[in-house]
Amino acid sequence: MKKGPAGNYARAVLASVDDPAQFEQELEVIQKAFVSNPEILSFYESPLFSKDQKKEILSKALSGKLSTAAESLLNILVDKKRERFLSSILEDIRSINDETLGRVRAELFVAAELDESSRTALVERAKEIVSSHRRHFGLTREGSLDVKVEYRVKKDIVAGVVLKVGDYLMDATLRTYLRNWKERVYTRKIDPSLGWSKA
Amino acid sequence: MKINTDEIVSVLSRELGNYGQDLKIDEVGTVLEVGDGIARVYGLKNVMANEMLEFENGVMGLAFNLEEASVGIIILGNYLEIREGFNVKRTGRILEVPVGEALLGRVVDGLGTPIDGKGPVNTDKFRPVEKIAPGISSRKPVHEPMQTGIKAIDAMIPIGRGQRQLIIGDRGTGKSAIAIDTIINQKGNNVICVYVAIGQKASTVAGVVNRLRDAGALDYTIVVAANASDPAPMQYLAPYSGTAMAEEFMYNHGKATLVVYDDLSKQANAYRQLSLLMRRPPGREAYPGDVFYLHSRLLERAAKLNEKNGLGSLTALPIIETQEGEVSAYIPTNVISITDGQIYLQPNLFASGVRPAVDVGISVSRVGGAAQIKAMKKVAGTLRLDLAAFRALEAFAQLGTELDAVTQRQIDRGKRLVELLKQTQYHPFAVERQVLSIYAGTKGYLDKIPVENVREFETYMLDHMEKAHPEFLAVIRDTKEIPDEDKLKAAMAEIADAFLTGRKADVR
Repeated sequence: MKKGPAGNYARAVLASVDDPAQFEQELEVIQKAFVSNPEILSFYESPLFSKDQKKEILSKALSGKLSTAAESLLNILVDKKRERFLSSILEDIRSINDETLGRVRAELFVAAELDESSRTALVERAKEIVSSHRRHFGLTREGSLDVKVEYRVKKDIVAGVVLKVGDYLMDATLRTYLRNWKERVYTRKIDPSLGWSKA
Repeated sequence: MKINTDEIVSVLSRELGNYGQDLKIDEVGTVLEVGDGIARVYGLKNVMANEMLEFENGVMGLAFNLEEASVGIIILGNYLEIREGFNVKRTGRILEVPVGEALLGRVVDGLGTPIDGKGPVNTDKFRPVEKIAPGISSRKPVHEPMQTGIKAIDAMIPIGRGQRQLIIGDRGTGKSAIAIDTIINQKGNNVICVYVAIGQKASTVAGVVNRLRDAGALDYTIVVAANASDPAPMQYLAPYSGTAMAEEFMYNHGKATLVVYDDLSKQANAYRQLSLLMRRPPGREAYPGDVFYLHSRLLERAAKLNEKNGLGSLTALPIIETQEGEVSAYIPTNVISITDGQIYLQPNLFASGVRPAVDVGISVSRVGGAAQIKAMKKVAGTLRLDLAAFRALEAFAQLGTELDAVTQRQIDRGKRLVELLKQTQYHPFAVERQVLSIYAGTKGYLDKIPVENVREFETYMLDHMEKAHPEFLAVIRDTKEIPDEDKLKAAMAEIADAFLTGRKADVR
């Protein structure tokens, strides 16, 4: 479980909402708005404005647009002077939801840009691999998994794919293969029947 | 060697056929920062302490610090090629080194990789570098001698197989020389030696290797070298690797082994560097709190195994370098308290020509007589007393005052014994020759010989004994007892007379 104050807030607020996924999205929108407008963020986090000022402006700007849970969370953070924790709370909410909803974030690296159809096929295959080999990826959850695949191009793997889930990595690249091969050729004892012949 | 291209092609094509078949899912972490031989890595949640890890470019590392948010890794190789963001893979293995007979005569680094340019080490046996020392039930008391071939040590500070004997002294007092002589003296004794060089100049190590080869000692010796230019992790690991290589012979071949750690002060320095970089809190002299355990767990692995475990033994000769004779510094006191005895080497003795510069007054061996053959025990008892009496009276002798006859005799005897215990480097003495020399000294056959001719007489006497009375040497060698004393005394007196008359004749 997540430790520290952010984890506590995340657990508390998730316990009080009906749809955790929906709530997460809501907070994500707020967070995005804050981050993309530094003035808003600095206003919200600045100690120069009083609690009342902050709450008044928040309610004017956001009332009606947010669920009560989201609005209360913002206000409570103002009351407790813990505005800075907003982003880490969101992070913790995300990881708690990952666990409870069976969501898995996977990263897929390929060597070159692919066309739309092969890309979708590859992503689908990656999802299948993660669900069918979940124990190897350190996932203990039974039942269905909601795998979200992030697709990226990384040229230095030469060819092949890398699939990364959390701390676990499936490396099917030509780069690694060649490297292992080189090591084997250097260190392996060569079978005398087909190996080096002495002059 | 000729290379057949067809064969290479067939190997290559077979490899290509296997492409993509050995797909594995590995647990990885990401390098956050790297420098000075260490790396901090994010991830690797399930990593074990002391687990081997592999960086993206093939360099190995060792999990050293397991922290809440990161893992501290010591890098066993070139850390300059590792960059932030590299993947680090778990191997699931504890650090191991190759062991076995293939290593004899080789020079390897702390990971067992050969550095003598003689090709790969052909062994498929491995042994964990860190291993818990054998317990009480598998040991037996130390009882056989580990002959160093040095008269002063074998007579008065005897070392037994399975003992841990510290060699301590300032720089340039001949510490390594004693260890190397001991290795050379094991020739033909069926003892496997491991010389671990830590933080020394590569040129010094090369010199030692040549010395051992010239003396024919390299055939039963493994040299593990972590030179001054090697990264600190290698210097920290080398003693453990060397011990693992010796342990293989002790446990699985039931052999006697000897490991020289030259020297442990440098290993402690390397460990201090690593610990400080890892931000472990510094203690006395900035060493970390577990620096005692660093040496105690290493030296505890020295042992004499009992019958049930094959009677093998591992004798440890750690070397510690002191600064200006300061034996009460942190590391010297630690190692003194761990070992079963110390050999102190003194710079002033060394300078006044007493070489090996062993200070027999303060050197001790806690195993003592148990590690000596009977004949040696007999002759060495009086040697110790004579030398102690001499040291007490030595100050008077320098005043040049008139002394009574008894005192004068003791001083004369002492001077000759000191002379007798001098020995040239790389000339270890077999135990029967040592016994005869010391017998001559303690029974007074040297008293009439001028001090400056004592060593000449020793050679003369031993030569004659070998030619005219080989039976004495054989008896000591085989029965470990002093031969028939009347005959021995007669032969000794005869030789002494012959030497003296021969000398007089020369003068004339």
